[in-house]
Amino acid sequence: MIPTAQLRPHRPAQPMFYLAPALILLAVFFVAPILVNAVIAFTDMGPNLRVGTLTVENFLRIVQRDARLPLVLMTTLIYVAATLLLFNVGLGALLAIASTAIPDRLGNLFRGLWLLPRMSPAVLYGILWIWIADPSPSGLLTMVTAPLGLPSVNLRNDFPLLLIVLANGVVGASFAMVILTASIRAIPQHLSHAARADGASEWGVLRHVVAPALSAPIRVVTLYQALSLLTTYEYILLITGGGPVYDSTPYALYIYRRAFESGAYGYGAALALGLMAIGVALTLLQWRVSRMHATFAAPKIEIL
Amino acid sequence: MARITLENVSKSWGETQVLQPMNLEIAEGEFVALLGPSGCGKSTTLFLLAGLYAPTGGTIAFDGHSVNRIDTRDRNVGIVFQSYALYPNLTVRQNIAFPLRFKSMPRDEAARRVTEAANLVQIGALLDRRPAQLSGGQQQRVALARALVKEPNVLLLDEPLSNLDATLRTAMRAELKSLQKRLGITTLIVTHDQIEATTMADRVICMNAGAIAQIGSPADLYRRPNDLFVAGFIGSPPMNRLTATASDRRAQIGTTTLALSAGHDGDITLGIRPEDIALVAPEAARLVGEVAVIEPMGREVFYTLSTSAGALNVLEHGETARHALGDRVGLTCKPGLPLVFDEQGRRIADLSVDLSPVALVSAGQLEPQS
Ligand SMILES: Nc1ncnc2c1ncn2[C@@H]1O[C@H](COP(=O)(O)OP(=O)(O)O)[C@@H](O)[C@H]1O
Ligand SMILES: [Mg+2]
Repeated sequence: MIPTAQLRPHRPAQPMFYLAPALILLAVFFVAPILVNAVIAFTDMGPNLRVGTLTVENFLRIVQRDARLPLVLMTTLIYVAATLLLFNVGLGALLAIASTAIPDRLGNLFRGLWLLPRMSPAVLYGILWIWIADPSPSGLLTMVTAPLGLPSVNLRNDFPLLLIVLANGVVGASFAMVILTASIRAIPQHLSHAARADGASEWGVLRHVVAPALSAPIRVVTLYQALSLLTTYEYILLITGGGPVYDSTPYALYIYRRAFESGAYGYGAALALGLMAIGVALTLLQWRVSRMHATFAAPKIEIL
Repeated sequence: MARITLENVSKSWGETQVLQPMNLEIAEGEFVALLGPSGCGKSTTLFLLAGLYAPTGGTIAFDGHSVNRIDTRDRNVGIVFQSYALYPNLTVRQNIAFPLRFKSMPRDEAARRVTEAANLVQIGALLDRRPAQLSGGQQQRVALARALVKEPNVLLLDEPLSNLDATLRTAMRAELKSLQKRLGITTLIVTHDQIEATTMADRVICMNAGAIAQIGSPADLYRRPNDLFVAGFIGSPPMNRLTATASDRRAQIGTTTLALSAGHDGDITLGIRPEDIALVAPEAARLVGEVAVIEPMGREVFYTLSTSAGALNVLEHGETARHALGDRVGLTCKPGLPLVFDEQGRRIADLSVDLSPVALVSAGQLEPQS
């Protein structure tokens, strides 16, 4: 018989104890800033950081009187949509498909190269693009176009939006590339064999076997990257500074410029609340679309 | 329906040669099994026939015309993969109809063919499900219907039954066999299960380490194996092996000396199947052993005997054991057995060792113990 002393009474687990570290982090770095931001949004906080009155003036200004906002929203839409479709998803998928179609060793090298900008410091990457776009004879683009007899263009002045789409896209494509490469690798080889035996050409295999397998990860990547493009602006700030004037200033950078360049902290906080609402909506959409709960569900056993 | 010819067909992946040059002829409408242990190159051979792999050397011909340069999709082969390889995003109906997308065919003709193929393998009721909602047996039938719907000249089956449970496997074996006979399609089935191969196929190709070890009817492989590999691979429980030394017309096996049917010198291996050994009284036999293990198996009793030459398995009909542990028993078998293999493991066709009952030779006054 088992000695009773060894039988410990069953105690309920203590979830709060184990969750505490995560909850504290969440509270300090996530919930608290949101609350502080929400409060500031209802003040007239200016460059001197003093709070005069509580007011809804900031919100009225957003919807009624900010003449720049329509342009900023349009810039945001173009910037996010173009970067997303052309690069973060389009080029990423293309890179994944191309780099898995060539021999493995070459494919790995190829993907490694595309990951480099992501691994290099943002400032370095920014300077690289400034050098590329520079209209003086020592700029890379000018060095290429001048011998061809083409006039030199000032990308930063004349096509700032194109420049920030390019710069963000080249970095951003590698995320989809990595995710989609894994998805392509996970397609059982028998499926493409079956498709070819059934009469499909290489293109048919791509369309009927590869594409269906990529549709779910592409949805996830699209929403995730949309969110990240909406909220980050470091490369833009480094390369064009949002200019000329506000020509390449999307929403997130606009918040920054309002708050930290003009010192309108109260107004910036109100704008930030708007971005947060968009972010939450997109996240919820992502949860639905990616069927996250299915990802966490118990797996169905696959017969090998 | 096509006649398939392989002429010196070989396959290498980089440095490693997976298939030795191989010659083979499969007649029109024949059902052939490719049998061998895992990794011996069966699937590779099948993929070569399908055109999914290109041969490193040699010629593959359908009806006498080389198909080496012909793409898989133009070979009109139907393939059932071991994993079934159904398209997960398509319904059963769309899966079966998939090969017809690439043929210009009127819609109603395609629909008719899909229904026909589905009914042939009895999945007419499942057409609107997705593969994930099917059992293994049902998936296998869908894969078969998809392979048959385009009315292929050649049907290639890569271990199609290995994912099914034992009962279903037995049923599908019979079904596949009768389906093949009915449709008359030249069929190659790849399997590592000798029962599958011998029960279904007209002819069995036994492979070992990338080379054909023997081609023959199931009976050929069972009774007249070319070498020790085939002898050991076909038959369950496997053939017993005894090592012996031959000099002139005698074979020394442990402490026993037996007569050889012809002169031979050198090390030999005797092969005898457990079901071919008859247990008799020790005095009536030339080889004697002691019962070490008894395993009743229902219809048969499985004995392990220890002899001076090593352990031997014996399968005897009957529901209960006729011998007890520790009993001394004599081992005999029919003339012509055991088979004799030379030092390289090849069978020496006209050579045998005399293990016949003593009684037959000397006046016949001894009767088997019972
Ligand atoms: N694509 C491949 N690249 C390299 N080696 C392979 C490839 N496919 C199969 N092989 C090798 O060829 C041998 C035979 O494989 P296969 O034909 O699949 O065996 P089987 O179907 O008889 O189990 C194995 O040793 C396997 O590792
Ligand atoms: Mg195989």
